[in-house]
Amino acid sequence: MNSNKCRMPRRNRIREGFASRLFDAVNVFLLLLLAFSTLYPFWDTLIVSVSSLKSYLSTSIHLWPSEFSFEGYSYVFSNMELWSSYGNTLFITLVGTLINMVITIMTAYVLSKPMLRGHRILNFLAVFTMMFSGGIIPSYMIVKATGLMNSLWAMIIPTAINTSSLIILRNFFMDIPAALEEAAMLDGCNEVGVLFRVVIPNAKAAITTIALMYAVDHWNDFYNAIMYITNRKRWPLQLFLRSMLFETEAAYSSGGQSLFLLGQPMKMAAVMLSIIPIICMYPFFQKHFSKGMMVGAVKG
Amino acid sequence: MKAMKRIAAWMLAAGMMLSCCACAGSGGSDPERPTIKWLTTGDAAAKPIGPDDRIVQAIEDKIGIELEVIVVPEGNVEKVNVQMASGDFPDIVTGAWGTSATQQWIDDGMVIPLNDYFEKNTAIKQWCEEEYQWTAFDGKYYGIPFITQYNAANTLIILRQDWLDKLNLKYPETLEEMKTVLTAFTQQDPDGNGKNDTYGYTVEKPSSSMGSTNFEWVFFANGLEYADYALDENGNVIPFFEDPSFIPSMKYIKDLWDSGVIDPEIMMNDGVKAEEKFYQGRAGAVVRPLYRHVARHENSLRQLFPEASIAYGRPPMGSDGSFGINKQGKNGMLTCVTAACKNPDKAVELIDFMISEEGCDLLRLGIEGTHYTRNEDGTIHYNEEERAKDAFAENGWAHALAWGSFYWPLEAGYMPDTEPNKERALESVELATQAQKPNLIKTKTPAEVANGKALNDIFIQYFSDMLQGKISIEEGTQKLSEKWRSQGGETLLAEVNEVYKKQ
Repeated sequence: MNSNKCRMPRRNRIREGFASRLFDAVNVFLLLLLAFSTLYPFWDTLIVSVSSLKSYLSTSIHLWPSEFSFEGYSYVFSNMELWSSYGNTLFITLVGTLINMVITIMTAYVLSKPMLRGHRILNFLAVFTMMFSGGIIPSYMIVKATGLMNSLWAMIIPTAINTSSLIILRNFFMDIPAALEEAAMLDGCNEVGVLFRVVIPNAKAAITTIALMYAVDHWNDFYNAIMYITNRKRWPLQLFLRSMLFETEAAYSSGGQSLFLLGQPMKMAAVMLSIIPIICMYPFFQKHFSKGMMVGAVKG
Repeated sequence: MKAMKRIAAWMLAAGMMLSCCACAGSGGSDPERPTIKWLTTGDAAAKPIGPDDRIVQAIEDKIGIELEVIVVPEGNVEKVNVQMASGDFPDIVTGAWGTSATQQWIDDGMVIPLNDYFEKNTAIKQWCEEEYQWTAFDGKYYGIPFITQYNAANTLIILRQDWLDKLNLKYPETLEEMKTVLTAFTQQDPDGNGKNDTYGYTVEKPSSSMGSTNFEWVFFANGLEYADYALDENGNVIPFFEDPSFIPSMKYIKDLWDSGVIDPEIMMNDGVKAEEKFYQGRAGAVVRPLYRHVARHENSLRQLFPEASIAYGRPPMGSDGSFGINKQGKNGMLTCVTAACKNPDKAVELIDFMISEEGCDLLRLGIEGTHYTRNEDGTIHYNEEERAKDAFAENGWAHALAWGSFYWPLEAGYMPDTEPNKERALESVELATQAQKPNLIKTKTPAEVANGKALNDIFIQYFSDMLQGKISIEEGTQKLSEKWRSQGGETLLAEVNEVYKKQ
């Protein structure tokens, strides 16, 4: 729409009362404050990561470095393990999310069919795992018994399906009118065809949102790596960076290197490296993300 | 349909490719030599041990084994416990001392007693029977214990020497002098910027796992004798805040608090934040570890104040000459040989070698002629080029296997010749160790393991309330006692008293 058309002569406008303008002003102020308090930690991390130790120490609020230094980045970059851990994390995130999505979509589709025999039992079994979990020791035993120990698959297969995502997607699929599917069937589609040609295109928003959630989970996962992966060559990025940052006895005692002791700029450089790639993904998913929320809100 | 098939084909192909990348075979082993697997929390800050590490090879040749060391990421004890609990036993395991998990290994027979091996392995025998006699269960030693900060400490009150000089003061020797110095740091504009913007004292927030407040120097100066508990006049064990030293100490701390000498954020600071405030010139005193960190503290301080220097010394004395700041440790590691080990002889021999003088030299210095040479005056020349090929830390520091399981350098009294400020570093350890108070009860009792943190939190809450004046010190102390005792403290005391009487 052409915005000029909306412009009215000043005298014709409905005059906003003082209270209304005050309300707007307070609203804008509060929202700006909220935006600032959300963005500032990122900004602070970024600025500290490119500051020298002196510049970092010289002030408590870091809006702009008084002295640039990329020592932290060059220190972390010079460690060859960074690159292998980046590779591992990319593998886990990409392949892991792909596997997550394939299995979640297929399971959700099956569970979304109320006429399926045993549908209730299947649903119950899925939901049961949300409330009762075997715990870490049985999980460890399964990973060990299936030979996944020390392999990147140990971070992918055991978490291949997340029940809450499954239920969200199932509900989304159930909301797609059955008539659409029937029409496709009449035109000669089989169940698989219906899934790929009708259901998935209609649930794009939900699928992208869930894919993003899975991807972020994989990107941030370090606990499974601690449990299942001792070979440093297969460490994911988060574990590699955590091990450099973690405040352990070793960091204080051993004579080994620890970013933790080299000062805040070094630490923040490591933090930036761990969040930049995943932050970069958000803009691409953003429109689906908000759409997904809206669709859910209207229907719900 | 065609598109779907294509997608499926791509996915399968990618899956196959990636699975090839993700899994790699493990190397073979010499059938003559048994493989010993050692799962340890080890030294999480150390360099990774490569497959051709010459130190590991030297150990293997010495003992006649293939050694596979699995260092748990981040020194995560939970991983060790999970692996043991799931029945995936290594030959040697290093876990956390004094926890219910390690106790279970012993109770369930998952680890073997080492007494039978003492004859051949004298370093182990000496280790257990001289230092750690009290760790035996019914006379049997189920592992090599290593308690951190058992006989050594490194924390002191660090002051700004340049501020002391400016105000014509010296490192305080008594509680009263300390109060004068901290007050002067707050009120007499020690940084000379004309603003009232400095605090005398800042510290890390209280720790619920240790039950410490970082004001320990006040309690010890007022006559508290032990690190963990106190004794009443009948010789019964009581919590330290029921000792007569507590109320005068709290009054002293409250005086400092009320006069604005203490950083108001002490209940929120983490260690790094407290250090930062010291480096930024916002506080003139901080309680932090020294030893290796003498140079680090001073360098960080000089970023903003090139002329500044740090001072540390014996913590201030009370009226009867008592002083102290460090508590003897109760936590640590326990290295055991598992019942699943097929060659316990070799496993024990390996541990024995690691803690023997010969083993220590190998791990700290390397192989003579390769990793280091001895100069004529007896000092060591470190061959950094060769050391970098194996898992040695830089600047003369030791091999990845040297620390974590049986020692930290502090406990071993070790410091390479290359360390800047070596003499000051060792001096700080000497002072801090003199100011270390022993424990009344050496072990952690089961109730302490289970309930210790929650009880410490009660203490910390009352400590904070008393400091801020929400409750008077006398009333607070009494209420603290009542609450602490009623919420599990009585059970703990009963247990502790029993152990004490046996001791």
